[in-house]
Amino acid sequence: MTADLLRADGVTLSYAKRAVVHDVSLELPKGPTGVALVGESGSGKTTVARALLGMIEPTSGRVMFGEMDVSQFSRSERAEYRRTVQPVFQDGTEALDPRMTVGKALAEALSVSPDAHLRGAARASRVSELLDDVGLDGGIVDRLPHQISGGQRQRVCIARALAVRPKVLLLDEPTSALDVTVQAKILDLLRRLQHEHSLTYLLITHNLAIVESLCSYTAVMFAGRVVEQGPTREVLLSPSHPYTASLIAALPRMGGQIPTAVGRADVGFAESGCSFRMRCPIAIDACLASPELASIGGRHVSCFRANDVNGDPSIVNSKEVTP
Amino acid sequence: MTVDGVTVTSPLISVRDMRVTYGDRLVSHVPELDVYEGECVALVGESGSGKTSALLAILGLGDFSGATVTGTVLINGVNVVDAPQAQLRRVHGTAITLVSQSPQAALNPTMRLGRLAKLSLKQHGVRGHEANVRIADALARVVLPDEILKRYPHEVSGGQAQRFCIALAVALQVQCIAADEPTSALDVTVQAEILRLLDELRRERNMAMVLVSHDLALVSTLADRIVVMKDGAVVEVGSRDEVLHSPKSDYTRELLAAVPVLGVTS
Amino acid sequence: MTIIPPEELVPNDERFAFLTLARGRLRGQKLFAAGAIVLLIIIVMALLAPWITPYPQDAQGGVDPVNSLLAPSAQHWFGTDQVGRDVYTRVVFGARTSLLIVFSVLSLSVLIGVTLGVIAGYAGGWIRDVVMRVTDVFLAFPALLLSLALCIVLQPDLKTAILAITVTWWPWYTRLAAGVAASISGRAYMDAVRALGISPARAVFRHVLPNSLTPVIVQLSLDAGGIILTAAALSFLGLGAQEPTAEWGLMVSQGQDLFTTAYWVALFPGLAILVAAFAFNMLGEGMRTALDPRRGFTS
Repeated sequence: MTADLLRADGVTLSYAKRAVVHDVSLELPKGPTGVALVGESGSGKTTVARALLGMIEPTSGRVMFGEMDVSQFSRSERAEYRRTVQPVFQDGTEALDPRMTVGKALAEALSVSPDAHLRGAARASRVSELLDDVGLDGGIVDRLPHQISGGQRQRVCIARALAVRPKVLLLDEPTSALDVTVQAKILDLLRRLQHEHSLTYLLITHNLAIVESLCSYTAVMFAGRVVEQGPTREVLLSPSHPYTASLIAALPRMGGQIPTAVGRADVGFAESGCSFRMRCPIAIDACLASPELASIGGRHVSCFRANDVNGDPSIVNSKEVTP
Repeated sequence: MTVDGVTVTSPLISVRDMRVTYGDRLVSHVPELDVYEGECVALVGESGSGKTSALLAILGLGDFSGATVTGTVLINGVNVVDAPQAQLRRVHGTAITLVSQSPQAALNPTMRLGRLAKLSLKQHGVRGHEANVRIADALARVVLPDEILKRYPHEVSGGQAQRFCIALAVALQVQCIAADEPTSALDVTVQAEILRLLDELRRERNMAMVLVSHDLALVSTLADRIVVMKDGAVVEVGSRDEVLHSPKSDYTRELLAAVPVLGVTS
Repeated sequence: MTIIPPEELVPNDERFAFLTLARGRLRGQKLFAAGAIVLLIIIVMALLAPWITPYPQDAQGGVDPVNSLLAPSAQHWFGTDQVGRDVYTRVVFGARTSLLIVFSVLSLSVLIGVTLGVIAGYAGGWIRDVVMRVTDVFLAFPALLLSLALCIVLQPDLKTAILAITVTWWPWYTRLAAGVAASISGRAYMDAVRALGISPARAVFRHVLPNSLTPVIVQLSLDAGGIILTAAALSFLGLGAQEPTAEWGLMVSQGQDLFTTAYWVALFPGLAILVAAFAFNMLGEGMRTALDPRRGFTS
């Protein structure tokens, strides 16, 4: 029925009875496409991603893999589902076993892939195909992770993920540990692979500028809730939630003014009502109640004043701050 | 030389033929650099460019990291490259101070912030009432509540810790802040707050700034002049507009092209 | 391990650990070399004992009452004991006993301790709880008392001593390995391994175990000295190796009453204990300094 590969359905995660993620619903369609989860540290974006990856079990709500509830899986079904969703982490140094050569890391991944039956020359040609795919030279197979550059490490991580022929790649800040020129090359690579392999990307990042090139859909999280989600171009270029607007206003632009700081990030968030209201420059009395994630045009926004923001990031410069 | 329409005669920091070497490897070479009051100069480059080594050498901290520094770095007439420790400490408390990448790591974890602030001022001869007044003023300036003095470094957020480090610089009344990636560990909204604060201090108190960063976009919002470094060498120096709009070196052009910009990709 | 380019060094930054590491590494290498050389000599002597000792028959029986309690001389470098056996010969053969005890106890402890620890650390949850509670029970007894009690209950001999020491020693390895394995289990590369669907057994033996070994090896060499001392203590109390086995602790115990008249009977085996324990300690300390724990034992 649905064309979604993977879906979070009202996922809530609590630790010690405190919810760190509230009622998040998110759909990952079949590739080539991408969904971005953006927000500041502590917003819950990584937790949501880990739940989608099957690394943690939601306290309530479901993670659906096609038509099936992930929590009902048998052991073999679960292994299959895990292989479908592969992670690529921020730091290749951390993400590779320091004692394993590139060749061994790829061989290990191949041993659990649909190509596990390949032997000898066929296997070697699959390894070189993988390396070729990520733009690495065959000579790298005998190197240990610390003997290659940061960009190469990240390429090895991508190759290892591709070895099991996944459908979804979870990209957790895939370029933030890299130099900007290397970052540009990795982004190009990811864009090419997305189309060549019809991959769905789930991108977790605080760098809004890289979202657009990989993801057509974006969810903005604040204090464990999705505050705005919709097509990337709409969300990032004409935000409807004041938090999205403040994120965009805070981005330094080449040769531009000093970016705008909205409210004070260290005031935290409200426990009841709209969690953003303490930082919100346009909060009103109505914000003491919790706003629903309501549909506005092609997106969902949880803000009583979404119509006032209406795609105008400069609203956050407004002086009507209520403490 | 004219900065923002004000004529200044002598530079606050004057670097000539400064070389930082580890063993026989030259990791950073700055042939010439002057920083004037109220001016923000940014050192930009990727990892391995030698920008942080250059900053440490300018602070007179090059030897501390095991490097050999040659050449001259005059700060208020003192050559910090070969200044004795006592003189160097005086320079650090009055002329220049470092704001680091990881503010929480830069603060002694066993001390409450209040005690830390008092000790820092005491080292530079400011005690008692005078110290209390200066700390209170500085906290007010960086918009931190007084009660933060009762907290330990791990009890405050990264943004608050960075504000506190800047408050120390304000309380010491230094003429220049040397900042090494001051916002790279912070969220983008907090980063904006810190950048704004640094910019205000520069305008209000005529503070100079030497800013080290890998982020050209960030630097371009704050710096008057930009020094682009690669593999230990300066590849381009110019005013912000020169570097952004008419870069002379290919590497600068490559850097500019690599910075992702929101709303440009289709 | 990451190679940190010098320009990344910032004062007050944990990355500065690199500098202390470089200094520590040199000191570590010297200590390590000194310990290794002494140990190598001891091991070679133990292996060649029958050929480098003048009276190899004295290692076991060889009673010669006529020549009892002779002072050190050209014929008997370390003198002779109450029953006329050459002390030098017995000290060299004693190295065999001590090394046998050390290697047996360590291999058994590592086999039991590290296996349990790595599994507990990686699996976490109730498996970890059960394993850790069991080790806590063993650790709750004072080590030497537990060893003594076991030796008394069982037949006191060399095998019992090895068993008794192992019983008090393995839980430490379980704790150590569990801690290291738990921290490795939380690393991003283990997340990647799990996401690939690699089986837990393979994850433990291919990834967790090899990366946990460095701290274990350091601990092994630090502990070896302690094991020599414990074994000597048990024998000294008559609860370890029995006559006529050449064992340093036993020899010291036999010579203690004679110390004022025939100091050599107790002194030389005593010195041997000291030198061997010290050598193992230098080796371990050297390794620990060279492999600064701040590097996280990853390489």
